[in-house]
Amino acid sequence: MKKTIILFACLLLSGCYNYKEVSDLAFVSSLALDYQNNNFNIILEIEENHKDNKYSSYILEGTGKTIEAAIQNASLSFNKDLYFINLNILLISKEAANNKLASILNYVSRDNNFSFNFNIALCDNPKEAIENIMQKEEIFGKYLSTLLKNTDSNTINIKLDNLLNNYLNENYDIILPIINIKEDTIIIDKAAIFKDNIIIDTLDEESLAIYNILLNNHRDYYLEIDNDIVFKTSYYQTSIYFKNNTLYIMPTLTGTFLESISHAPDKIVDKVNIKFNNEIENFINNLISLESDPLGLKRYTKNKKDIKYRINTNIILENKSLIYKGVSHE
Amino acid sequence: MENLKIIKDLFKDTPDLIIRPIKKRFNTVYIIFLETVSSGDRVNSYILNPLTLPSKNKLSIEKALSGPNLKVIDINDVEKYLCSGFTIILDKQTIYAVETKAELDRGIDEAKVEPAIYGPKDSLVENINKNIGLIKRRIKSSHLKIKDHTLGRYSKTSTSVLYIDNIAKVELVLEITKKLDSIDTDAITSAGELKQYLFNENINVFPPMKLTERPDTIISALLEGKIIILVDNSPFAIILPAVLADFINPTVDDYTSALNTNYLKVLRMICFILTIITPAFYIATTNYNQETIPGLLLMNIATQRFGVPFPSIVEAIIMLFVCELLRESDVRFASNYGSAVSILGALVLGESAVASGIVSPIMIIVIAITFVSSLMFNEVEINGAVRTWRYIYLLFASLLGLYGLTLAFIMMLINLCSYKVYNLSYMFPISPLDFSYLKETLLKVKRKKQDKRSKYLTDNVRKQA
Repeated sequence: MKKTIILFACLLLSGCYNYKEVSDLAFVSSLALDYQNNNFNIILEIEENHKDNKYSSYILEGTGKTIEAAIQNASLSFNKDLYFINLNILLISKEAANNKLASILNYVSRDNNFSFNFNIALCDNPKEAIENIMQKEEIFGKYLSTLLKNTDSNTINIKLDNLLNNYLNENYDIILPIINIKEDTIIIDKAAIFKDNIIIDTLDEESLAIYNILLNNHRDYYLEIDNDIVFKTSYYQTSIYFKNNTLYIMPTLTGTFLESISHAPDKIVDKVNIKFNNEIENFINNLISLESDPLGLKRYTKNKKDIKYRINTNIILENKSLIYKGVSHE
Repeated sequence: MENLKIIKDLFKDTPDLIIRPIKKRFNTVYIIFLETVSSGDRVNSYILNPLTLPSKNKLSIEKALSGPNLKVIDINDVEKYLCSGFTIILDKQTIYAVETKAELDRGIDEAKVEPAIYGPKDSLVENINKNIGLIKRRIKSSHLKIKDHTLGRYSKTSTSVLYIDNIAKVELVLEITKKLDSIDTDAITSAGELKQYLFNENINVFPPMKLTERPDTIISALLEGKIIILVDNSPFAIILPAVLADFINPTVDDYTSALNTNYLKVLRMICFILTIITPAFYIATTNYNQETIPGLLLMNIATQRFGVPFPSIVEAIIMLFVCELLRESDVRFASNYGSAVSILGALVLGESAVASGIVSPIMIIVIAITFVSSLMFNEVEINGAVRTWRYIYLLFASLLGLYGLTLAFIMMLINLCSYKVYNLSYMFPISPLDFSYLKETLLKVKRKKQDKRSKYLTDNVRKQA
């Protein structure tokens, strides 16, 4: 009997720990971190749902020696518990990324109040960005999360688990998208690449497209060749392997021309092939010169030296459909 | 007339006792019956007319009497026969009993508690003989055995144990018979009352036997090797032993094809789990494990709960209490008031409750799922068991979240697996695993493949070639 009482007491007396009413939670949609003068400055975007099914958000700001202290400082005048599980985006300033990336990743991955599926991006003026979206009566975190998922643009979509995976893997250097505001609009057309956890360069939209192709991150890719002919890919698959001290990069792109090509399509396909080959070559050469490896090519080369690269692209034209034939009278 | 004196003493202050002397040659014959339980017409045609007709004057009393059921009885049985609607004829020292029962029971009606769309519509009635007749109509075999018992010092209730002698296990029949013989009480008035005397070894909220009003359910139980107890004046039969699978899967499933029925069987099993854990799961996830709820839904729940002054556990208990209240009042109230209760219920559980800020709309959905799922089970006892476990789950979930829910689930599993009903585990046919019974209860296969009975219920397992 005693044993039963002790067993039940152990099981039940620990009850009610971590009890929280759902109406007492404040749902953090975005968290922005900056590091200035040995202090963390944070901005929290709190999402609210109203009974008329409308959503709104407001901002909390705080400063502290640590991220936790900054969050506590921000919630001093706030009557709800901050809930980070629904966090959509974590914005990190370049300064914080260069100096405190390890602390930030340590904090968000160890605290069980954070999930692993929020996006991470670099942004130097997060307050301006958040307020810009709030003016449009949208939630910044959700807006940005959708923007990063958009397959029409060639951005990169990095979530905490991807980032941690790359950060902890010696074969990879990390890469993060950069959020910019241009003419009152938020755009994500660049990404920062890191070398030894320090930002060393930025990639433009074209380079990001190549990056996505080489990692099979399926996004729409448009390749413009002379005479204003645009090749649009609908599917691509890149295989990379290492043989005889040579790294073979073999992307196969399936797509179609946006304009109707009535004569000598094979020649144009050859042109696409050459141009695409050059683009990849330039991208790889750029990474070699920067000594950064966001693609994780070290996985194949195993740190061997004097490696040769061989790029062999393959362009496949999609079969024309009956409707296409009917419309173009071919 | 010593016998007459004994009867008069026995039935002193019984105004419905009629004693009518008739002169028969050089002797007086006494006709005795209780007018409340005997049919006047039958007394006239079976007894009075034959004994008073001049043409039958020369015949002996035994030959003169008509009627299908005539017995010579002992003075000690007079009380029982008189109360059962027999007419007693005292001829010197001989006592005759002629069945002249009045039709005090209703006719065979449609099954109301366990309706079936394609199954037979008849159901048991209060008359035990009619009930046995309904069963014998379906099993025309001398292997169907009936053991009669009379229970209750005052009620003298006829009780019959039915089994098929070459299917049912003899030990089980003997155990039941022994239990029935050991009952010494004032009165047994219904099957529900009797079943409480049959099983008291273990305290468990789950019922060890099943009540049914359907003769076809009785037949399939008999053919599985189970035992049926019929009680006079009760329109329900007791099927024993019964396991959890029997309550989740009614016999009416036999009338539809296997493929379609299996969907319903799975649905019922899900409902069994849903009706127990839904409120507890809601409490655990919204109060402790919010990360398990998709973000948008969690925000909606938070918005809906805004303004509700009670913690969600209190809200859940209030709603469960109100629903039980409505269900009970609906069952107890005369059917004429049914609509009033429904309207009141809709008001209490509907917009008014939400508008007044007592409960949140999401809690109404949670409780609705709980109660609609429980409506799948028409056995009152299983609903009672489900209710008890619902509160246990709720208690654990409100203290420990999903961890508590898991603890309660393990407790229930241990409880069910260790529960034995007449040497049969309550989790049968899952534990112990028995495919032949599983194919008939939890899942259904083609009729042709249901060729064996469970070896746990009978030694005669071959059902069809």
